[in-house]
Amino acid sequence: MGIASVFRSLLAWIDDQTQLISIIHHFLSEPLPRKVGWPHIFGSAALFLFLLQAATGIFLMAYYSPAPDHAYETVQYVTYQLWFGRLVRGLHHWGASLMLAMVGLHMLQVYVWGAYKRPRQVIWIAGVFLLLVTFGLGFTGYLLPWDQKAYWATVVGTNIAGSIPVVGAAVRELIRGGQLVGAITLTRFFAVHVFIFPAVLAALIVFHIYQLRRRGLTPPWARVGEEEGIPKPLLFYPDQALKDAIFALALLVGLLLVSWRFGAPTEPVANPADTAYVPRPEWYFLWLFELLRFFPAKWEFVGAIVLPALAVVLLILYPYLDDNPERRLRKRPFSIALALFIFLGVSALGVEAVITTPREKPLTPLEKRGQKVFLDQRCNACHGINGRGGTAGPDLARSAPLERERVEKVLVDPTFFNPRSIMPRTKLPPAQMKALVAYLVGLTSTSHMPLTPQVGPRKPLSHQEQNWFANHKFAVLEDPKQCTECHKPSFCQSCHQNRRPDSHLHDWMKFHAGASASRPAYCQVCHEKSFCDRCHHQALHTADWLERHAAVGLRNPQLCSDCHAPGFCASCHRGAVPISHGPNWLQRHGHVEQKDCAACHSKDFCASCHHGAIPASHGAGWLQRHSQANQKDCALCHSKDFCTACHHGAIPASHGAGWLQRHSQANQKDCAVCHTKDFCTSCHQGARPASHKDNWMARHGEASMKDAKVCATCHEQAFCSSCHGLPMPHPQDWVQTHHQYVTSTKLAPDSLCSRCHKPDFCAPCHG
Amino acid sequence: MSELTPEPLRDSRRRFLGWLTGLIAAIITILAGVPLVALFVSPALKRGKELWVDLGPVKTVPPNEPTAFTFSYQRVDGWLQTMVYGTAYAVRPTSESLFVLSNICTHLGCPVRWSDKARSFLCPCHGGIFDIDGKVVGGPPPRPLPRYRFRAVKGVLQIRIEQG
Repeated sequence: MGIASVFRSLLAWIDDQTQLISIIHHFLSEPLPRKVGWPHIFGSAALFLFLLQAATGIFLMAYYSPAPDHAYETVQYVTYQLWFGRLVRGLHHWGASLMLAMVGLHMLQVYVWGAYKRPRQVIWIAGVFLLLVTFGLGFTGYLLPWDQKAYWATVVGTNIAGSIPVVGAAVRELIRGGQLVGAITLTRFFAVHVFIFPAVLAALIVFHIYQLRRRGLTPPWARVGEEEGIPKPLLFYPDQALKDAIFALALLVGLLLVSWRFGAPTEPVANPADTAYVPRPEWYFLWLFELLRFFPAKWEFVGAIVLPALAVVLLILYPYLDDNPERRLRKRPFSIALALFIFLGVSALGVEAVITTPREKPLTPLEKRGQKVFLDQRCNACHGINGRGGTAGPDLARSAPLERERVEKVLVDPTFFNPRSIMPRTKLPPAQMKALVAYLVGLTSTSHMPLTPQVGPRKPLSHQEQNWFANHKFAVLEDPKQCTECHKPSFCQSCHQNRRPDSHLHDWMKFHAGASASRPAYCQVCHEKSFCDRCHHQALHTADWLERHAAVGLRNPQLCSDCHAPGFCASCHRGAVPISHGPNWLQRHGHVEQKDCAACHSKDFCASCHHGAIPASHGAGWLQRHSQANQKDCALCHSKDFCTACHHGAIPASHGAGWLQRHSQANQKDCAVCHTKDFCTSCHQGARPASHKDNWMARHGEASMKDAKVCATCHEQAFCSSCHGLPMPHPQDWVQTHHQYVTSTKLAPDSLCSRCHKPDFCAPCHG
Repeated sequence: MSELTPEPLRDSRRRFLGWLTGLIAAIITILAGVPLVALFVSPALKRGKELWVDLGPVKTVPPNEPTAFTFSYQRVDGWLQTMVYGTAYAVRPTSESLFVLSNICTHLGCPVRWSDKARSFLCPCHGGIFDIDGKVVGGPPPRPLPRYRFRAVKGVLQIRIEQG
């Protein structure tokens, strides 16, 4: 026995037990009239797509969580983290639209072929309900991803239900499960979408197909009541089934290609607070959306509820209203005209809705370049455009109109308008800055953020909440490790480079030691270890800090200002001089132990004034030049003692020839630079030197004879001669020359000689 | 079934068309089925990243003194990310050898604690006692304390966490 015969035996046994094989065989062997062919594929196509939606829906449901907290994230998880997740989601999204299109085409085909007429009215009515349930599946499924479009489209859709007079509010609350679209709306829509509507749809499909099999497919173009006797040479399987299969395969391949290329569109997570969002429904509701625009607010329900309800009633009753037995087109002008009118009307409404959708105005070439700069600079990490993008900064399309100069100012220096701004500076070449500014200034309510490839790991849902920017610090405090799972410290710096976290204000330098000791992980979120080393390596105040601090502070002044207020240094230093370098320091410093100097000053410091032991200012020829220096400058370094250390003996150049005679005419202040008062009074007392007191006239001769040089210190030769009339003291050749002044060897009492010499003074020499 | 039965078709033609229909149906099943099945099995087959979690400096583990380290990491659970906190004991029986024990009792999962006085890990729930190597020496635990796979990177002890 071969495998085929085993298989046949198995089938025979199943049929014997259940009759299922016979039923299937009977179903597949339905005889079909001629001219049934390709136009009749749409019903099967709709069924195939329903099965595809059910299959993709079931597998998606394995990962979906119908709660506002999780819905969006589970959809993201499926799309980006699971194999074929994006493809399956795409199949489900585009499949929904295609299913509605097929249902519509099937209805159109049935209408044009007149297959709704007697005796198949009930099949048509079931089909109308199938259409309504399909619309319902589209509407309820739409909310499930919980993105902006889903949320706001549901708000608008349920508001339309609310426009019914009298009962509208109750109906709306019933649909929403409350006043607002929220968690209960999501869960009831989920229940309706995955169970109630599919069950109803399945039941209606079974009824629809059963009734179709009962009556048989309408022989094309046959008159009502004249179907008997029309030959049915074809079989459903395989003649029609093959066509259905080919079309189903084509639809599936098309769906796979579209899903592969485009995936399912997703917008940012639903934000109930974002009232600026403009929702637009899917294409199959666009005509209804557009119809509402023709009705003023009070009469909106007419366009939203009454007219569509009337249309449904008309559809249901039409098979009974249309009693024309003809099915051929030329014999049914009214039906065809009506169908054309409705079809064209609905299409026109849809097209108008599409045309009148506010479109983003096209970007100029300069704005396009600006957009590229915007994305390259990753401005969208913080700023949104019309709700898409970051939330740390203001939405650039929804803030106040932007002025060119102000925009450029903010880009170059964000802290100019707000000192606490965290926005980093934007450094760009002029051409790029101009383009970026042009792009920003041109943003309007219709601008959209271009889609960009994701950078780095996907943001968790917590980071997409509106208040994440303000509240993330609490998450960091609660558990720093949850940040370091994803973020390196440089990430924090990108915002906090301009602005310290709020926790690091108010004496943070005092408290950070305790914080870092008790929770090192808290510091590690934002700071690399090298950050701590920057201070703690260079500026840790160890035992040798007093010696080191000047060098560190000079190299890196802002390091000190991290801890110390500006007045702190002055607590030791006055100006640039420490307290130890008090008054007269410059004069005294030469006597200080050099090792004490080395505590603060490097050798270079002394050399900045001194060259060897001599300051650089006291260069070559200084001894000769130094009297010309500004005496105030001398006093900077030298005390009075310093001058007298040299000038007791060597006479300054200012005290040149004749100084002793002239010196009384000099400015006494100048004398005071070198000489103390004691110095003058050591010679003078009052106007006369002290030595010339107490009968000096009688004594001076003796004094001069003792040491004539002393007299010469003050007096010139002429000074003595002016009294004595003779060269005094007597010059060396006096013995040879004195006779010019003396006329007699016997000194007369009134002679000049007798002032000093006794009368017999000459006798020893002159006899 | 209608009275007018269809014209008898050549079996071979009907068989061929039937076969073709079946082939197309199979292609449809594969094209749709493969992504769906792959999607379904994806979380079970996708291996999570290997995760090494820091405990602390190796040199802070003295010989013969189990040292407790607390750790935390972000556990990825499908689309959920939760912080998980745990404790591990690093034990150095000799200066050359080291192992890291989990503190989860193998009886019913309570956290055990090292007692210096008893020189044992004690479980507060049902009196389980483990010696310094993690072997059961008393009470109801059925197995020794689990050991983490560990390594030292730049002097920091790390344990390996299995992510789902």
